[in-house]
Order: sequence, then structure tokens, then C-alpha cells
Amino acid sequence: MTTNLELARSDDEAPQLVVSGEIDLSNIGAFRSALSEGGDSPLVVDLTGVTYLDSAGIAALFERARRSDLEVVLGPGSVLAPLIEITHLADVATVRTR
Amino acid sequence: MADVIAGHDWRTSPIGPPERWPALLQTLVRIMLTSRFPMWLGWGDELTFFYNEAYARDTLGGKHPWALGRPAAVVWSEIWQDIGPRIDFVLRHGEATWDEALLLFLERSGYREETYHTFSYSPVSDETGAPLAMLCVVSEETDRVIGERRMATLQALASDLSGQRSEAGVFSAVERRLHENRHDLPFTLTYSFSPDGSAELVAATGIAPGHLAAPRVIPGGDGAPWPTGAIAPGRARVIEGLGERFGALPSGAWDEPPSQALVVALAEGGQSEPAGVFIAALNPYRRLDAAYQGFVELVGGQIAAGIAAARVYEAERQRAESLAELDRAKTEFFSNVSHEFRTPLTLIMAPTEDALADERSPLAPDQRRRIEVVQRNARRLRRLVNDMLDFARIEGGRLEAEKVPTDLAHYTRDIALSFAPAIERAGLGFVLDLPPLERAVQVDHDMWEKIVLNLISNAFKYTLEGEITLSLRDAGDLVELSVADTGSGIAADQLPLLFQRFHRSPGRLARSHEGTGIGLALVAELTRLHGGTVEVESTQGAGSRFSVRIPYGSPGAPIAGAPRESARSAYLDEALQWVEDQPTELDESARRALGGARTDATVLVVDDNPDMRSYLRRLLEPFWRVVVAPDGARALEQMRAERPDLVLSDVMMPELDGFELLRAVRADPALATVPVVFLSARAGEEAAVEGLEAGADDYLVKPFSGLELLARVRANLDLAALRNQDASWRAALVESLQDAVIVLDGKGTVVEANAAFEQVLGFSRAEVPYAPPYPWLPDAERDPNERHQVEAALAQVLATGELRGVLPLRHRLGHGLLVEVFAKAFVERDDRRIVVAFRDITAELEASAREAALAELGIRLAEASDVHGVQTAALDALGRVFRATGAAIVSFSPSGPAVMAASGALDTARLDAGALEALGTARVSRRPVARSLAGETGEERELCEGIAGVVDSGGAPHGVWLAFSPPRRLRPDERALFGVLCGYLGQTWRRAQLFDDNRAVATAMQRSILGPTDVPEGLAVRYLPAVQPLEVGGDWYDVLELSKERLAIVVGDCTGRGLDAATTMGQLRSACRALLLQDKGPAETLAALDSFADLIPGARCTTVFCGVIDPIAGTLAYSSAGHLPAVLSGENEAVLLDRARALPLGIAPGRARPEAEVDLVAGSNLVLFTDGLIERRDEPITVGLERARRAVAEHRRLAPPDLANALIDELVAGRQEDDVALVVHRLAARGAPALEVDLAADPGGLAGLRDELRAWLGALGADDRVAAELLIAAGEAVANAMEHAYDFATAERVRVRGRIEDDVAHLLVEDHGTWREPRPSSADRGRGLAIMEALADQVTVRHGPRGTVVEMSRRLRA
Repeated sequence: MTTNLELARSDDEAPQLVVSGEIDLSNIGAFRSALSEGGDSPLVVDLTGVTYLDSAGIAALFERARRSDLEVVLGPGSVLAPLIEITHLADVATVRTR
Repeated sequence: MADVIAGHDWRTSPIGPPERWPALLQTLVRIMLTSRFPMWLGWGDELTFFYNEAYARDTLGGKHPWALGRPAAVVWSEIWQDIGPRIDFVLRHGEATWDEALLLFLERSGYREETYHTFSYSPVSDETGAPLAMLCVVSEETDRVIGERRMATLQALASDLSGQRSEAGVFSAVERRLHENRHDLPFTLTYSFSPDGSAELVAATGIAPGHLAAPRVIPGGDGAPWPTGAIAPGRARVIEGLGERFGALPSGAWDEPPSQALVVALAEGGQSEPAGVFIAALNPYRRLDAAYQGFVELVGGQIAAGIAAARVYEAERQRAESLAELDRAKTEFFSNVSHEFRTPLTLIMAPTEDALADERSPLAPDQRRRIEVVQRNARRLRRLVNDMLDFARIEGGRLEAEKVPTDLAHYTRDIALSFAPAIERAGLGFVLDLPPLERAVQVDHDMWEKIVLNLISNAFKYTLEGEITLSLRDAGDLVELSVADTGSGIAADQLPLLFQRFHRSPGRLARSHEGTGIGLALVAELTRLHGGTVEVESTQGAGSRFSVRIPYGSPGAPIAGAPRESARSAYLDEALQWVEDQPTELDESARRALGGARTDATVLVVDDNPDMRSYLRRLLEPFWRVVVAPDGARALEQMRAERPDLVLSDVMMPELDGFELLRAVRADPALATVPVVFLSARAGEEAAVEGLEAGADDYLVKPFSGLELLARVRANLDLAALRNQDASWRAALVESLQDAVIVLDGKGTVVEANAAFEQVLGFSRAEVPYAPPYPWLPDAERDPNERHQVEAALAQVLATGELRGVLPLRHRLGHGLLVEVFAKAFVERDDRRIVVAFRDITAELEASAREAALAELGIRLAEASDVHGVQTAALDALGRVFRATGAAIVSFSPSGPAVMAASGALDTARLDAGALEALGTARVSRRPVARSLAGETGEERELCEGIAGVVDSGGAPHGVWLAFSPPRRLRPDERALFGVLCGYLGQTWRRAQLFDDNRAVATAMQRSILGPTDVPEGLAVRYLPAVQPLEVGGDWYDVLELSKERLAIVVGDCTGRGLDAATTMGQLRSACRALLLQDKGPAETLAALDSFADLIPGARCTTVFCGVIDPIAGTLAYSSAGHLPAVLSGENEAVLLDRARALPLGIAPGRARPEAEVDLVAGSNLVLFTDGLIERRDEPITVGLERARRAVAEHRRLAPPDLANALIDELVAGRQEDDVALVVHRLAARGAPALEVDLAADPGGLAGLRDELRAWLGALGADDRVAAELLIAAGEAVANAMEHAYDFATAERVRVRGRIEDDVAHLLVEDHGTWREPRPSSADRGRGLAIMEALADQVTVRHGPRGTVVEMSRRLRA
């Protein structure tokens, strides 16, 4: 059973990637290609709907952050918060909690 | 003259006829006419010219009588510029003038003439003083002046020439002097005839050489430009018209160039051929008269004479030079003769003598005769050469009598006796009338000998029968020696000629007609050198008498006796051969006389001539050991290698000549005392003195007699032996010592060393001297302390001359050694020396060190109880005993020796091939094998890199390897010791092995009766036996899984301790087990044990607590046989389970036992223990119990293992006296299922896993947040396993297990893959671990060869 992953783009101001569902090794590829679209322009990644993310997903975010400005949006009390904190993603990207 | 005046026509003259002349005028004329002095008078305004006869004759010349009556200015118009002013002056001032020898160019002879006049002009005035006339008195000086001039030139030239020794000097004198007179000789040219007829310009004055008129060379015969060839001696030739010939010419001292020249031949009187020509340009103002010509010819003559004289001188000089050259050549010839003749002579005579003397292979009679002929003639030749040389020296004045005060009678007798054998053999009488003289006579020994021998020889030659008488008489101031014979006498007319050189009296009857006739002439000369005379009286047919008289002489300066060639043997030999003798007999007897010579001496013969070398060798060999060298350099080498007792050396050799060799020998302290004897062809005392002063011990001149050489060699050897006795005694003493002995000089240089020195230090004696720092000092970098120690000792010994101590040194091969040193200073020949004796005590010190190490080895081995201890002790001690840098013990595996234990350098290094090989060999041979260096020298091959030995411990053998770095010598006793120690080690090993085996058995046995250590989940057991090293005691515990998930736990306590109790315990425990397995309850089990215990000795009174836990029912059933109660913890407290207590085992067998039951709550801790846990001597057991109960209560939250540790720590607290057995059980919460998921390594399955985990955690009542986080952590672990362990190989599986325990979820993620090396993105991996650690309470990752287990736990509720 594959994980659900919804990628939505909106192009006003900064492109935005809205992700929901669970991201694990089974669908990490899709996540990564979604991140790589949009070239080197700044990107906002909305993870409020994500309920599972492992180190591979974090690695993909780090990679994207190297190419251009990255903003990561979390939901309040997101289970991903300790993950983001432990891996110091805030050092290379802007992390916002809605 | 008067007539002339009278006859002159005076009418036209201003003064008119004589009648009308004033009286004064007449008077003046009269005076003038009567004077014999030349005068002239000028009268009146016109200065009408009057003169007298004398004037007309001398001065006027051709102008007479024209001049009379004319005005003076007209008469002397050519000189009016000179005399006019004078006359003017006179007339004006009324004063007279005076001029002496004034040069005036008069034209009185038809040409301008150089004249000199002395004249005076005086005024004649009237009464008023007005000038009337002028009177001149004049005398001509021309001849005088010119004559004087020419004379001066001649004189100067003569005087200059007289001193000239060379033609060049002559010519420069000519130039100098003739240049001074360019009046008479405006310019001159002197030409010298060359052998080819041309004339070379050798002197020129007043003209530059090369001028047209002065060519440098006039080719012969031609005569251009000067007719040089056509001048006969004594005839001069005038050359006219120089101007036309040559154009412009220098004019010398005049203003007009000469127009004439005179050519004169340069030939001295008597010479027919002129040496050259002299060309003189002539004074244009003089006519060439006889005087002039004579002058020029005189000049020429002087030049010729000068040249001739110079040539004579030159010839003289050359003659003298060639004479000197001749003299020099003669001298050189004579000195060369000496060398050139003598050496071949020696080499002719020597072999012939040897051949004649050879007894081993004597000559055949025919050969003998031939060789005798050779010998005779060689002798004759030698004598001739010697005599001639003497003569040459006498002639050259180089022979001087070296007179020494001599007992002439004795000496003469000596000389005469040497001749005696021949006289005797000839059957002649020999009368010696030589009474001792009253005083010593100053004679030259050599010369006297020659005189005497010559006379005797002469007498002998001409005396066929009768006698020869020799007598010596004092004759006042003189000594008279007379030699009288009864021979054939000498004819009277021959007597005066007798002493002439080369004179031989003809027709005399004689033994031999050999002889050069020099002998008597030599006698005469030698006698003359003594200031004496020789005379002869003779009667033909009756005999002759020669008398030599010489003065006694006064003592002069003492002269060092220089050994000259002794002529005696030559004379004797010659005489003997006239009597047909066997010269060899004499040699033999003489040789026998030499008997007793030292035969153990070594003589070194040095000569560049191989024939000479072999001759000398053959000569010397019968008596001494002979070694040879072809030149000085090699001789020196040999001497340094082996010191000879005597050196016999030629003087003139290539490379190093005799003198240089001698210098080198004397400079070398080791060789300085070796006697050196020179053999030289250079005769004469200068050569000998030079040799002796250079330090030679003796000097022999070639050719020498073999006997003499032998005698001298022997004498010098004896002398040297005497001198060296002390030295050789000392040397022998030093050499015999076992200790090394060296001698240092004041600076510390080793100048001598004995043989032991080489053995101790390995350095060669031949390389002495050794200057500090010595090569045997410890290395300054590696062993600075030792180096410093030795250097300090050296400084001390040099300063104080004494030293005792032990010093570390280095052998030449590099290993260290310790020497005990004694040093003492002494003085030898004014030099300070220090003798140092030292002995190698390394072995001694090593031996004592080794013994100490051995003792230690023994002790330590004895102490070691197990094999490991033995190995450690052995490696340590063996290493020390043998001073090994590394040691290893190996076992012999099929693939070769494998190291079991190692120490020192081998601790970290591996064994090299050499070691392995040695070990292999040792294993087979069962004997120690030393590994030697593959060195080049025997010394090097003695060094060992290591030694291998075999240790036989009863089972498979083991090997021991000791490594030495640097390699060192292993003495045989050391090797033997090593073998012995290996044997000892083997025994010790065996003992230790047995001990180990026993212990293993005991341990195994004990383990077998111990309770299980692998207990199920929720249990912890502890067992501490009281008696070390036993692992069992009388207490026991047991845990047993029964059917239906039930668990039996038991603790028991047998009486007693130690092995006995343990054996009892084992049996009881087994029995208990068996009973429990039959599903008997605790009470029933204990009851059955009662009977059993009755059977086993020592089992009675054993206490036991037995319980059965039913986890499903949640109950514990228990019974106690006299044992302490268990403790059960609850929510808040802990209680003692003390119901169902009964008697200990075996006391009342058959009686029923009680059983109790209690509920167990999940999470409660049940603790069973024996009294060892709580019992203390000084308190009742209840206190301990209470303590235990409180402890359990306090730690009720702890999991069983932690609780067990805590109880032991707190309750035993290190004061264990009795066995302790402890069992802790915690009831797990039931109904909480465990999670077990087994999924393939496919990421697709991750979502499913998450669902299951979520469900499981939810069922357990986990917080959502906790569950979500735990999910991520677990998911991370699983994803890692899939990716890194399996690389998504879907055939592989990942296992996830979860269990709940007291609110803590434990998750286990297991894989069976091999984690590959960290990926490049280790940041990612690190993140993964960080994530897990952040989201779980505890994370453990265990990698193993068979897979990885990740364990994480998290409290489910915050």
C-alpha cells in the first residue's frame, strides 16, 4: 500500500509545495522530484498535513535548501517539530509554524 | 822681409812711401822686423798691414806678400768678425787685448783652416792719446792645441781599452772616447770582419748606425760604401768626396761636414789578417798631414790592440772553462765508476765465492777451475778499481789523511798477520820485528794498511824463497817501517822509476806478472799525505828493502772513525791465489767461527736489485730467518706487520731510499730500536758518516766480503739484543698476559698494544697508534652516559696517571662489554707513558646477572600457578637472563609457529622468517637452535640474531624464541643453559597445565551443579559462593519452567560450606527439579525431598523455599522448609511471605508440609534469598529480614536485575561470609500482547508496519503523541535495515518485536544483513540515529556478524 502524497503548487508570489500524508522510503522519490521542480527560485514547503517523515525526507529538504531559499511550514504541535529541531533544519531553511 | 817692405809700391797706400812715414811708424816697423816673434802692425785709419817675417811664415801663409800694405780688414777678412771688434776696442779704449788659443778659421792655405792663436792687440797712440796704430803680437798654438787634443784622445782611449776583457767592451770604450773628440774625428766607424768576409759595424761615433755612410754590414769584397777589403795592414786609404758619396753627413764638432775620410786596417803588429777596419771622417778644416794620419793610425792601432787583447782574453776564458768542464767530467766519471763498477763486481764475486764454497752441491772440478778463474780476475778488477779510485782522489786533492793516534806496532802486526796465511803457504819465512813504540803515531788507518799491504804484497810477489821481514823503528821524530825481502831485487836503473805511476820493472822474476804498477806509486802518495817519504834499496838477485818514514805527528781534532772498506781481504785473497789455494776453506772455517750466532732472529733485506737480494738471502739464510723487500716503502709495510730484528738495506733505491726508510723507522716508536745496516756502493767517509749520523747502526760498502757482512750482521743483532733485552723481557711479559695491555703516550694515544688487546676489543694491533677518541668508546649518541663515563676516566688517567675501575666499551663488532681497568703512569726515555691493563669482565658480570635472573626465574615460575602465569614469568625472566630484546612463546600449528605470548620487542612485532625457521628446526631436533648471522667473517658468523628452544609440556610441544638486536655472541655455556631452562620451563608448564586442567574440571563440575544463568524474562538470579575460588557452595537457587506457563523458583541452603556442601546441594537440587517437573506442588515437592535428604549424608537440616508461580492465574504457591521467608513487593509496600513454614529437610520425613498461596500483581517483585544475603554476626536474623524487606519495598520499581544488584550492594555490602543465592521475579502484565511483525525489505511495507504499530500502541493505551514519535523512530530503524542491511533485497526480512513492560514499550528491530560501510552521506545516517534517540527514551544499536538489532524503549505515558 503506498503512502498518500499530495503535491499542490500555487504560483502567486513564491511557489509553494503543499504536502500531506506520510513520506517514507516508498515515496521519497516523488517527494524529491516535487522539491526539485521550480529550479532555483525560492520555495515554500507546507508540511502541515504530513503525519510521518523520516530521515530520508529530512535529507531531501536539506538538499533543496542548498539550491535556494527554502521555507518550511509546520502545523501547530506537529509531530515533525522534534524531528526538525533535532536535525537543525532551521540552520539552512526558514521554519515556520502556522 | 825688410826687402819686401822696401820693395813694395807704397804710392797707392794711404801712408805713402816709407820716406814720408812718421818716425813712430818707422820705429815700429823696425822693432817688428827685428823681432823673431810674429807680429803685425796696423797703421793709420786703414790699419795698413805691416808684418814681420815670423808672421809671414807662421801665420800669413799664402797671403804673403799680398797682405803687405793692405788694410787689415782686407787681409783678414775671413776672421774680421772675430778680430775686428777686438781691434776696435783696442783703438777706442786704448787698452790691450789678450786672447789665448783662440780658434780662428784662417784661409791662408787655400782652405778654411782650423787655427789657434794666442795674440795680443796693443794700441799705439800719440802724445795726445789718439790712436795711431795697433800692434799685434801673435803666436800660433794650432799644433799644440790640436796635438794636445789628439793626445788626450789617445791616452783616454788607451786607458779605457786596457781594462777591457771583451770585444764589446772594447767597442763601447772606442765609442765613448772617440765621441769626445769630434774635432779630429767628426765621425768614425769601426768594422769588424766576420768569418765570411763581411764587415760588421761594431762601433760608430758621431754618426747613427744605419746611416748611408754607416751601414751595419758591409758585404765582403764589395767595398761599398767603404773599401773594407782592400786595406792592407799599415796602409791607410784616403777616401775623398764623402759628400758626393753619401750626401748629407754629420759634421761632428764643426758646422761643415767632412769631405774626407781615412780607412785604416785594424791589425795588430804581426797579424797578417786585419780584424777589421777603422774609418775616420776627417776634420774639414785641417789638411790631412802626416801628424793627422799618424793620429788616426794610432787610434786604429789602439783599437786593433784592444780587439786582439779582448780576443785573447776570450780564448783564455774559454780554455779555462773547457778545462773546468773537463775536470768536472772527470770527477763525475770517477764517482760513477765507484758505483757502476762495484755493484757488478760484488755480484760477480759473490756468486763465485758461493759457488766455490757450496758444499751441498759442489762444483765439478772443471767448473771449479773455471769459476776460480772468474774469481781471480774479479778480484784483480776490484783491486784495480779501488786503487784507481784512490789515485783519482789523491789527484783531485780529495783524499786527506785522517790521522788517529795509533799503536802502530800493534796495528802493523795486525795487518801483517792478515797476510800471513799466504806467506806461510808459500813456504816463506815471515819475520815480524815490531816492538811497541813509545808513543802513538798519527796515522790514517786505511792508508797505513794500504801502504803496508802494498809493500808486503810486492815483496811477496817478487820473493820466491827465503823470507820477508817487517820491522818498525823509532827514528827520532819519525817512525820508520821497513819491508825487506829476499826476492829478485830491482835493477839499479829501475830504482828511480819505481814509484812512478804505472811503472813496472821489466824482467823481474816474480810469482805473477799481473799488476798495474800503481801499487808503489800509491804507497808513495799515501806516504806523502802523511808528510813522510819512501825509499828503496835493492840488490838485484839478493833482495830489496823498502823504507817508509813518517812523522809521529801531533794530535789533531778527533775524527769519528768511519768504516772504510777493508782492503786486507782483497790483498790477501790476491796473494793467496798466487799460491794456488782454496779460498773456500778459509770461508768455511770462518763460517764455523761464526757458529753460535742467533738463529731465531729475523733479518729484513731491502734492495732494489733482485740479484743482490737473492745473494744476501742465501748468505744470511743459514743463520737467520730472512725476509726481503724490493724497496723502502714495502720494507716499511713489512716492518709494521712484523718487526724484524735487523734491517739490511741498500741506500739508493726507488720509492723510499735507504735514508728515508731509516727516517721512517726511527720515527715510528714501534720500530725505532730496530738496528739498520746500510749497504752502499757509495764509498768514502762522507757517505758513511752521513749514513751513521742519520741513525744507521752500521755501514758496509760494496763490494763487501760475505764474511764481513755476516760478522757485522751478527754483531749488530747481538748489540741490539743486548739493548733490547729489557724491552723484550717487558714485551714478553706483556704479551704473555691474558689481560689486554696498552701503552698510552702523554696525549692519550695508544702506542703499544699486546695480543690480548686484539682479543678483548677486536681491534687490530697493526693499526696502532690509536688516537683518542678511540673506536672502542661507546657511541656518543646512543649511550651518552657510558661515553661520558669513559671519557671522564680517560681524562683522569691522563691527569693523574692512575685509574682503577670498571668501564663500558664497545667491541669492534658493535656489542658492548665491560672491562675492569688498571692504569699506571711511568717514564720511558723522558717521555711520560701510561700503561693500562684491562680485562673483560662482561662474562663475569653477565654471569652474576644471569644467576640472579635465574633465581628470579625459579621463584616466579614456582609462584605461577597457571599456564598463563608460567608463560608471563618465563618470557620476562628468560629475556632478562639472556639479555634478549624480545621473547615469544609459540605453539606449533599446522601452518607454522603461532605466537601465544610475547614480550619486549616481539610484543608488537611479528616473528621473522629466520625465527620461524629456527623454531621449526628446534621442534624437529628437540634441541636449542641458534640463528646466526650470515656474516662474512668467522667473527660475524658467531653472532646470533636469536635462539629457539622447545618446551615440552607433556602435550604438543611449544617453542620459545629469544631475539637479540643487535646480534650478539652466544657462548656455548649460554646455549646449554638455555636448553636447560627450556626443559625446566617445560616441567613448570606441565605442572601449571595440570593445575589449569584440574581447575577447569572443578569449574565445569561446579558449573554443572549451579543453577541456570539463562533465566526467562522477568527473572534475575545472583549467586555468590562464599569460598573462593570455588564457584559453588552449599546454597542454591533454581528456576524451572513448568507446563501451562507456570514457573517454579527455589532457593536452598545446605548445612556447611565448601565442596562438601556443594556436592550435597547438587544432589538436592537435582532431586528438587525432578520432583517439580512432575507437577508436584511446592509442599509435595519438599515432602518428597525429606526422604531423599535422609539418604544423602549432610543433607539433613537443609532449608529450602519453594514456590510455583502461575502467571495466568496471577498466583504464587509456596512452601518453606525452615527457610527464610521471601519478600513480595506491592504497589506501595513489601511483605514477608512467611506462611507455610515447616522443618528443614530430612528432620521429620513423612510428615506433610504446608503450602500457602498469594496473589501476584503485575509489576510486583518477588525476592527469594538465602541467609547469606542478610545475616550479620552481631544481630538477630529478624533485623536483617526487616532490612531486606525495606530494601525491596524501596526498590519496588526496579526491574529484577537492577533490584538484584541493589539488594546485594545494600545488604551484602562487601561483607559476605556465607553463600548468597538470590532470585528476583517480577510478574509481567498479562494481556498485553507482544508485537511481532516480520516484513520483507520492501519500502512498500513500511506503511503497513506503521498501521500495526499504531494499533499495538493504541491498545496499550499510549499517548497519541508518544505513539506518533515512536512510530517515526521505529520506522527509521526499519527503513535503515531495509536500506543499509539489505539494500532493498526483498527476499530478506526485517523483524520487529515489541513488548510492553511496566508501561514501557520495548521495540526490537532485527535484521540479518551486513551493514555496509558508512555511506558518503553519513550526515544522513547520523540524522537517523539522532532522530531515533530523540524520539525514544533509550536506543541501542548492536551490530553483529549475523545482523543488527536495534532496541528502543519509550514510556507510553508521559
